[in-house]
Amino acid sequence: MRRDVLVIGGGATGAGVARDLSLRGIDCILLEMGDYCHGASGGNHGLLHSGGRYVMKDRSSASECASENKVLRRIAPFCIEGTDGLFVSVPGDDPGFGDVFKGSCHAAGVPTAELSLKEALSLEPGLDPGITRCFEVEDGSIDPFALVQANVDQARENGATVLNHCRVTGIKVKDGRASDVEYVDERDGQRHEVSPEIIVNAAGSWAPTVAGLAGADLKMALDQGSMLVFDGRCCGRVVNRLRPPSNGDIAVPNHTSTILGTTSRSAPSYEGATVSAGDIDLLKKEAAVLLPGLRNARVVRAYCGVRPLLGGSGGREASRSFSVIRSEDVDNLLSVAGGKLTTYRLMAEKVSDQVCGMLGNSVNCRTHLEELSPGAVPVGGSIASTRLVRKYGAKASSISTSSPKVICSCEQVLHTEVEHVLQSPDVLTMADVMRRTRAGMGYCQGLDCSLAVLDIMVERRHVEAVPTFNDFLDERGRGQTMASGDQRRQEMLREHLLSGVYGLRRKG
Amino acid sequence: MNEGRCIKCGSCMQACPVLNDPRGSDFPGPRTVGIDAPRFSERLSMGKVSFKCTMCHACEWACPSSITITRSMIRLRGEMVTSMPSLPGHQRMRENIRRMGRTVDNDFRSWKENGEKALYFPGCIGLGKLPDMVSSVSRLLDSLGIAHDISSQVKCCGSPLLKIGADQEAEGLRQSNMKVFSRYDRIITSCPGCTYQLREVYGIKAEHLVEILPEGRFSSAVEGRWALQVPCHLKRGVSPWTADDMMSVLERAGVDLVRLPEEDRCCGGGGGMLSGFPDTSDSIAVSKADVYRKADVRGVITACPFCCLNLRKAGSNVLDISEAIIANR
Repeated sequence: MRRDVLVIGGGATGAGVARDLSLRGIDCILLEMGDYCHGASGGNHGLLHSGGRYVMKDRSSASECASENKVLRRIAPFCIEGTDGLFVSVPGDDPGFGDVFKGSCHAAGVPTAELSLKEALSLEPGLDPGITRCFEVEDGSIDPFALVQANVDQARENGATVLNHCRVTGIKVKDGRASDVEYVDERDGQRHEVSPEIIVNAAGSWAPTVAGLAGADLKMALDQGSMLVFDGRCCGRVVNRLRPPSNGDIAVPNHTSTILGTTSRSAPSYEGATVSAGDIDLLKKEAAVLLPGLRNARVVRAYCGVRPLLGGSGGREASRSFSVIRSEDVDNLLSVAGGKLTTYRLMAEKVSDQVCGMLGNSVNCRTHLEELSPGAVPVGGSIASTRLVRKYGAKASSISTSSPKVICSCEQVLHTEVEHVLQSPDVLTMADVMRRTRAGMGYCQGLDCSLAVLDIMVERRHVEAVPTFNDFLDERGRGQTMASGDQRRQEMLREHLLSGVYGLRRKG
Repeated sequence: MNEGRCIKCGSCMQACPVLNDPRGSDFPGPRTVGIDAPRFSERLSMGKVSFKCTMCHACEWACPSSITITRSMIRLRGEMVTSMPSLPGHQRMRENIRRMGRTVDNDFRSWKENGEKALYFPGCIGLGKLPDMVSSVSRLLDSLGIAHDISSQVKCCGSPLLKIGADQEAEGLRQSNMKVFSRYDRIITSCPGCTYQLREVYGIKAEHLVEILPEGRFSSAVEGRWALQVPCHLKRGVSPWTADDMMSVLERAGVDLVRLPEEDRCCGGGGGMLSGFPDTSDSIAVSKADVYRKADVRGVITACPFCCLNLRKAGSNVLDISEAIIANR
């Protein structure tokens, strides 16, 4: 099969590139080995950066964030909560830092305003009453799964082919150019081939592996960040520590939870990254300095993401910027390295510009103008129906709300939502259902909903029940190994019901 | 709040009399309204069906994590009342209180205003709908040697207003009632809802009739086998021992009691259900009346005007405890 462009990787960058190219009329195909947001796009805070975080060390990233923040609020309002954010210092933090921060925000074009402590505490009553300074910025929270799905949908509407669960297994190179790319589609287990003019390697942490398939060398530092999910919204705004970027200094209210992060240390590989007990203690301790309530709040799960950073060293000093690297060994292979969720669209634009240059296409980028999933209007009547738009954008209107039957109570997911997402050929596993509906993401971690979801999958898709279920338990189990307090009680009940009563969980 | 302790065991939903009634299936349930909703910024979108709760506390009793589900639901009602129009029944009740200080009209004429030290506080339903019950409680108090007033000055205790989120109006009633109460040493009630309100919200030591009965000696005023209807707000609101008190007083009086597992299940009358969702309230009462019919008892003895009213409407033969016993002098 001939194609102009093959995009490898269905994270925010890859999906953004497919959308951008298809809007410019370029014929492209995207292959993702897992589900969309399989890597760092699904393993982050869900923070829509104001740029404030980067003003001190990485002014260009900060400016990019500030302008892309505005663009995303305009083109994808359905999946964004404009919570705003605070940068807060406590006794012991460098007292001069606030003024430098203020100046740097101004220089980088990051809108900010200092609040009186009284104002700050009334806006965010959970803050420690001893805070010393507070600045307001335009942070927000964003649902990366909904955002990426909307990019995929719009790419498809404009003629792109987007396939998840398709792993690239080989790239043939002839005369310094990649010619044929082989991939395996998990749906049929068969090998398929595609012959693109240009390959965009947007595989994030796996980008070096993909480049390696073509015999090309790509240097990237893998840096792992651990995060904790707290039950409920422990703050109404994004709360940042007013100090140089460090551990546990951002708390993001997102959906029904608060996501706290992160740590930073180098990771051997995506699969090799794990959250340690030390990470959890460190995060809780640091965050409780700003939000004392977090000390005793219920931690639903811990997870980590791996940042595919530019350059060799990684860590907090590494740039959060991005670059497009044209391989020296393989002429038609472009690899994307670095970047972050907030600037995904800009990255995709830069990549697409380069692709267009190589193809001789002169159509301009339109991704900052076209709204994603336009015309989304919430349906009232229940929590579940009101939330549909936030998850599915305009597609929410095709989900029936006539039956109020809720399948997942933690996240208030309708039975009909599960039916709806199962109509998509993208959805193969229970985790795929979860990423789209959020069923199973709440504090009971699937105890309440998973068997009901499985039931629908068996009926609609004729999947094998036990292996499908065990895959899901394995996926959820990874973030649960160090549960404590009420979450430990929850896990004991889940364990007891699933393995003790139903005999479901696989041993070991 | 303590909603974060939930482990999704489902006990609250199993225990809920509304959720388990065919007419109540559109109620999102105690878990959604009391535990999950507070975590959502979209919580107010649930609308009026989230009021479809009798506030019977059965969910709270069933909860292995000791979550105060009812309190959480009341708080949500307070938030909601400003964002949506009241249910017609609730609106009527509010207007009644505004107009005459009580939830229902009454032509009660047996006021006792002799400046006694004790005050009998019958509550709106007693005065308006069950004057015979009020008289029998008053007679029983007399025969126990408790001289008392029944004051025409007291108003609604405010409990129904709190259940529909009208906190400020409830506070007005409290202030007005407290002026009357200040003239008395002892307040005695016959409505568990009023008792709970006076104790928990007013912070005064009101006593329900059932709590003073164990002091006396009684004989039975009834014949045949009788079942109990243990009022929710008495057992799960005022004190769990009141249920035992009811039973032992009746047994010592010689009443032939049949104990049924459903005796402490809600009648469907509380929490603003009777006025807000009369159909559902009725349906719960009918299935409860059915339990008593199948048990083949002469009737049901209770200690709550709401239980009396609602179960009588559903066809049960209901007596207040004051009507089932006679004090031995």
